[in-house]
Amino acid sequence: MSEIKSKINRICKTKTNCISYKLGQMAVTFLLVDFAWIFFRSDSLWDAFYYIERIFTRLNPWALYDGTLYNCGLDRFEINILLAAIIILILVDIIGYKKQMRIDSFLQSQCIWFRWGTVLTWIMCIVIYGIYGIEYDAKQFIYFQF
Amino acid sequence: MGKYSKCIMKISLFLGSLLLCFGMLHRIFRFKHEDGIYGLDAFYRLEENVVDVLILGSSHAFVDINPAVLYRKYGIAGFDLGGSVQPFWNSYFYLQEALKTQRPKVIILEAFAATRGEPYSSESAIIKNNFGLKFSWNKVESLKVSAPQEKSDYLLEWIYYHNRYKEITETDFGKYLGNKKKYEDWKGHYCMLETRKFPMPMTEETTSPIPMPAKQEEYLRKICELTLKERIPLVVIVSPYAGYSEREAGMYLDAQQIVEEYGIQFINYNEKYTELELNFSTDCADKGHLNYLGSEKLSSSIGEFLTANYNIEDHRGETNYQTWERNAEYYYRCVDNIELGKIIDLKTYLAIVSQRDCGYLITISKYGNDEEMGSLSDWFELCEDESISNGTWVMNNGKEIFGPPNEGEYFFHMELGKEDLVVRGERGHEEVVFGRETVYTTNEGIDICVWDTVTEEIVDSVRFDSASNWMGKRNEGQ
Repeated sequence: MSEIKSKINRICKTKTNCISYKLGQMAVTFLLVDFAWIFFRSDSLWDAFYYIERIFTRLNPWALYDGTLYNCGLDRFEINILLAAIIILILVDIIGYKKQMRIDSFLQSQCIWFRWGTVLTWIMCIVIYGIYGIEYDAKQFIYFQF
Repeated sequence: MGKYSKCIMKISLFLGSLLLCFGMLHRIFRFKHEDGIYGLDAFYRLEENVVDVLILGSSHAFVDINPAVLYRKYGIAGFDLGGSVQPFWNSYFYLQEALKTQRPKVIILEAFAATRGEPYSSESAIIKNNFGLKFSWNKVESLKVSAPQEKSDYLLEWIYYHNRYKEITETDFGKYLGNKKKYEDWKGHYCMLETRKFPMPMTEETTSPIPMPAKQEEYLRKICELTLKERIPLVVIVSPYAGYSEREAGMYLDAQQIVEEYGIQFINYNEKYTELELNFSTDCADKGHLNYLGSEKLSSSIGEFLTANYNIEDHRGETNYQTWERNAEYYYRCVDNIELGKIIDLKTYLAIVSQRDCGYLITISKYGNDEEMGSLSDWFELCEDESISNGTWVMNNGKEIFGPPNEGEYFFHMELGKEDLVVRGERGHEEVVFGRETVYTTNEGIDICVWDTVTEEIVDSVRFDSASNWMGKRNEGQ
């Protein structure tokens, strides 16, 4: 696969030692994963092809702006929680990358108020936002659509 | 300090902080239904041994029997301790819980549960009739009989309400559900204000009893036995309701025969419509419940019965019973406000809101209508400039606290409870804003918005103009 990629790059004289090339690689990977998910989530192979066809024949970019996205499973509030969780995840990654240490070691190096405050906040977030309780079926999660 | 003791202290402190956080979350997230859980919260706030009449049962009890009426008319300190669709087994555990802190002179049990055949309550009823109980063996027992064995997770209440995070509002954070005026001295009564017309149900005397459900019978007997053991008189009643049927009458007859075995009095108020002077066109809120007018009639009748048959003290004026006084004051004020909201005659309306001790703060805007209401000073005590005849004024207890300037734009602001009142604009084009909502914008005619200083809420917004022949007009829903 990488040989084919190198060959295409050579033919197209693509500059590979630059950030735009890396961004392009990321975008291609992201799209491939997205398309793979269509096949995972569809009831049949034909349904998956039908969805892909409709992506191109019924393009509807306005769905990004008219609130339709909030009807796809996560409402506005849940998307906000998701965004906050992603930001925390990125911050944890940045700390790990910059300080060259795991988050537990980083917390260990902080004062007790910050350490306990962070841990208690995280525990409370899990307790509140965790997917568990009466409306949650663990089996459905484990065998999620497979 | 040794290394181990320091470590143990740290762990204990951390666990303590964790528990504190959980406690705070529990207070915010827990259900606070007025028709079940919050009644127990109010009950737990009572001082010990102050309740004279404890009223147990389903919504038929806490909607139809009003402790404010019992207190105002008879000085009886009553408390409605019930929950929606409450079966007798929950009433039994409520009674046990109540007897831990109170020693009532009389217990009233409303018997609607006698007609409910389900062996277990619905999820909503289980929550409303159990989650308000403080954790104790009594609560465990109550949950055990309320839900089938395979649904034993009701003890872990948190899993039922942790996902309330999307519906959390300001009221979940503060005390008294964000309405201190109403709930600080609340005595468990759920007041229904709406009116629906129904035909009078059949009233022929039923002679053949229909067996009531076995589980309900078991706990009805337990309640009777417990009150006999505690030597507290029990009165079992059936509240009047429009949906009363022959089948239910038969079940009540069975319940009557059961309680009479114990020498306990049973009163079916569905056989006393005439005595109650109950009017099914004006006194019902829905098929199962009385509205505030019907509730006053039933409560008065119960009050008379209690004072005639039991030695219950009149607590009116006693300092220990100020909370009952304030509860009654709040209720009767709400009734006054409902009546105010029905008035459509301008002069009758002005006569009420202009009184010096009416307890109302109003905004009144008038344009081109001198002949209809006369001069403003005929009604209200004005401060200075009486030459202005049109504009927007703010009056408190019939006295002007703000009047419009002669010319130019103006802005008036004052805090009302937790909200703000704003009058802004220029004469002829003013806007009255309460909180963040425009109550009205001025127009030809008279607009009045009424804020009640007792209940701390806007209680009416009405418009009088020539187009409607000077009959009060209100927006839908008011």
